[in-house]
Amino acid sequence: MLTWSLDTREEAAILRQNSSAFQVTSATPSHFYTLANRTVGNFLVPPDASVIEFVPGQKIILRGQVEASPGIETAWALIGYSAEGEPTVALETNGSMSVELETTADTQFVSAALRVKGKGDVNAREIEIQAIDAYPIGEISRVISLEDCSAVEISMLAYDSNPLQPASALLTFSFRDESGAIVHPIGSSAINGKLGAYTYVNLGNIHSPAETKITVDVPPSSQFLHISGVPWKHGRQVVVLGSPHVRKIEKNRSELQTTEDGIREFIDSIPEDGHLIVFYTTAPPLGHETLALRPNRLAKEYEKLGKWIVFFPFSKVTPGTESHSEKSHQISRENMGIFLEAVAARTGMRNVFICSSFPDIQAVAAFDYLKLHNWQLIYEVRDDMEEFNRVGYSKWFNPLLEQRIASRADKIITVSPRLASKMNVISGRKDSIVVANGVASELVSDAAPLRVSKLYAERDASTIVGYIGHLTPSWFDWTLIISAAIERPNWTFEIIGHGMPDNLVLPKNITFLGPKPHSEFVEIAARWKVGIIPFKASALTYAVDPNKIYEYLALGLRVVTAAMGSVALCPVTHVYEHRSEFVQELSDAMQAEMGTHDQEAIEEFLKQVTWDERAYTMLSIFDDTNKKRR
Amino acid sequence: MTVTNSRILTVYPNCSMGGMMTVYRNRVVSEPANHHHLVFFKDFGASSVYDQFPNTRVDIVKKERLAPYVELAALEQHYAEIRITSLPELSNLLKNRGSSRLVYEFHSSDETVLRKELDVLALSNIDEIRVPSQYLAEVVKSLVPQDFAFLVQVEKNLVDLTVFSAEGTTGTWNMKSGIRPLIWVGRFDKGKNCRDFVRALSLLTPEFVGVVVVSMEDSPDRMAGFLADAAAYGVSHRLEVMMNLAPADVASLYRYARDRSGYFVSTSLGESFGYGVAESMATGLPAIAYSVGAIEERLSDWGSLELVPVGDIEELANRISASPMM
Repeated sequence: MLTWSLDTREEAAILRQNSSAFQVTSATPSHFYTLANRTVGNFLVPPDASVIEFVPGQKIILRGQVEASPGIETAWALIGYSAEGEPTVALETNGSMSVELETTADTQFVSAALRVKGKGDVNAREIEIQAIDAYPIGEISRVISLEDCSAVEISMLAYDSNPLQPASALLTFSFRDESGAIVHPIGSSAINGKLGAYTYVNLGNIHSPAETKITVDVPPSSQFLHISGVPWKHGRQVVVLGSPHVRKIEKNRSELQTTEDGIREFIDSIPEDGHLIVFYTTAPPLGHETLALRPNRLAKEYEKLGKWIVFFPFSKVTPGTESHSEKSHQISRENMGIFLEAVAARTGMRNVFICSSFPDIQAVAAFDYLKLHNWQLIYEVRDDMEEFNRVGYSKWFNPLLEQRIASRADKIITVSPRLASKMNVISGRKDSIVVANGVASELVSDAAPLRVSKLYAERDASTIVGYIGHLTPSWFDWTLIISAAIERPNWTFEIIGHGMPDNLVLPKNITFLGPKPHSEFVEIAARWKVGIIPFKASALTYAVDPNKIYEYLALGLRVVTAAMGSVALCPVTHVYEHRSEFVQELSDAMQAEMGTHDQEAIEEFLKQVTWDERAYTMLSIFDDTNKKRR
Repeated sequence: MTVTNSRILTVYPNCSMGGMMTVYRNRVVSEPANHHHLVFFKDFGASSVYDQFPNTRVDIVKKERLAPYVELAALEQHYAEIRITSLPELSNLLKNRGSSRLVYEFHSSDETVLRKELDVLALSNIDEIRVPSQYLAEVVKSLVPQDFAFLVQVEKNLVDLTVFSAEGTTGTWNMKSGIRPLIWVGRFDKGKNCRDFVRALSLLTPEFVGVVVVSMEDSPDRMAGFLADAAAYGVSHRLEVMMNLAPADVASLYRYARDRSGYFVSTSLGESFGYGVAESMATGLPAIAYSVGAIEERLSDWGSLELVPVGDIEELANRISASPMM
């Protein structure tokens, strides 16, 4: 706590002050001092008490921002006093914002002050006085215990005491095991063949020391870390302020347990008669609601129904997220071998392996392996991957691999009649099943207030047509929408999504809203009369069963869509086979009223298409296969 | 030279389920008194193979940091040996290695590969060239200047007899009764020559079923090529494909095949050792192989091995066909 006073009372005054700031006004051209915690202006007289507690040998640093009227000169000062009262003055002129004083074993008190010379106002703020250890970099030598640490974060302040001759210095890191033997650093650190793991120390100047912050990975079996400072080029002039700050980063569960152990432990926890469902899929990992695709949705529903889940997502599983829940475990694809070994003892059709739109080489091998262990094998086809491959995606795809998977699967389940037909041709069989996509029951219930007669009546008068989804010209028919908007200027088209081409010139009645979170989409779509799915005709789009049609219907929208998937089975849906029919179908939809019969049809439909209903359907297919094989 | 109670540093590019994993894993198992520090720079996810072994440490180090990393390790740890494979440039850089012996290992039977590495390798900087077979020793000796031939030493690869033994489970493999499995192990490359295996299978009666165990495969086109061959020779339905199997699983598959009068079949066109043959023989599964490279040396191992002139598919099929059903 600092209290400020002046060594003159006649020609200057303190206007306001607190511990870390003050304002002084001066009417004298001469110099005077603003004193911290002392009133005697004669610095030959020692103070009654020190302005800061310190240990002799520490460095005292005063920092403070000073703004002064033109012509005024200021200088911070620190004065050290020996036991005999002998003063040592450190004074930084030239408007410096800091001053430092080296204390010695003999230093007993320290005073602080701001020297002011000239007429005008002086504002000093952010004043801070610290007593810190300051020592040459070579004196850093610290040992840290590392129990259960995966990494250590080290930070420290240092400066170069002679800017005229730029210096450099290193921090080195040496690991030891329990016996004191050296443990070699992990390769993620920079390594010198003689010094080991190291980092260069950032150097500021005396007024503005620089921070060095580094995270060092801890090698397995190491128990101690020895941090040393190493003077490098002119390194002896490098000064460190304070002791390096060390933060230990604890190991998470996955680091304490090997990948193999984690997989084995989960598989061993499944009862022998437990129903295990394994997804091998192009879908993202579990736990990302907004990114969730059919496999993610169904995995969640299966788990609710008491099944055990192993999920191989397309992307690598982030360490620490393997154990999604007590009954579901995620595994990176590269660990398929460990998984297969772990499940080798599980046989029988209650174990289901679903290759979900991912018939790559590993799926082919897993199919054969599990077939020889009497598992049930399902090929779930969500998209025409051959078409994705044709347009440059899904490099892992090869039609012969898909043919192998399709012909070896116990059941093929597709999301659309077109895909089922294709799979029948590929596999030489006739039993591919369609289980269309669905909608989250949460959305159906959350949007229920929109599906009431009063709101339907209001929206019947709406002239807004809406779309949500990807806007790539690969399948979104921009030309069709633009020409329809020009032809029907009284309608407004609201477009939500991403991937729109840059070069489009949109008529005024097409509003591009950009990507929107789901909650906002629901709010916006409440004003729409019709939801559209204007996809270009292609093998790829015909195969799709668009999730958005179920969402449109959950929001109580009439739908106009290109022919694809199972859309023809949906209520209040106008399907166009040819582009030339789009405007007419849309016009019919815009004029139609949502009568009681339509409203009931929507409600009845929604009861059947939630993901939990789809999960029941899928499970009944698995059970049926099980019974037949037995 | 046998090393015991020592620290050994081994450097190889790929941390994968390929053939070198077998070599390293077996050393770790067979030399429990040695501490094995395995260093790779390409991570293909096989480090978990070594998780269970307390005498092993695996590190993935950036390629550009390998040299200082190994130098530091040599200075700090006093490794009895630093063993390097497929990295002649790294071997040349290791001047400051304390008292550690520098051993350069060859495991490839491909002379093009051997020449390429020997062109770069500074022989004067290494203490030993190690190869797994007499055959490969002769090949390498023919490629190095005579002054350096003394460097070439044979150290036979180790088979993990705790896994590949006649005793042990036959797993839960589930083939129809009367089926005789023929096991083939390798990659879909020209050298391993899986096509001849498929052709031989096509000459055999339907009770013979092929089980192809591959590792280190990530090319859909190569797998598709194999499937196309299988379809062309009409044996798609008699072929099972396994990938990246754990050693214990492979061993149980061998024993299962053994108990069903099956065979291990090698149609490889070049072998520096013949690991598959050695491991199958150790489980009691008879092997039949094209007589190439070091395969002949496996005749002295415990177990049954028949050799067939390389490329003689009919003879291969006839020998298998003539073997009695036990």
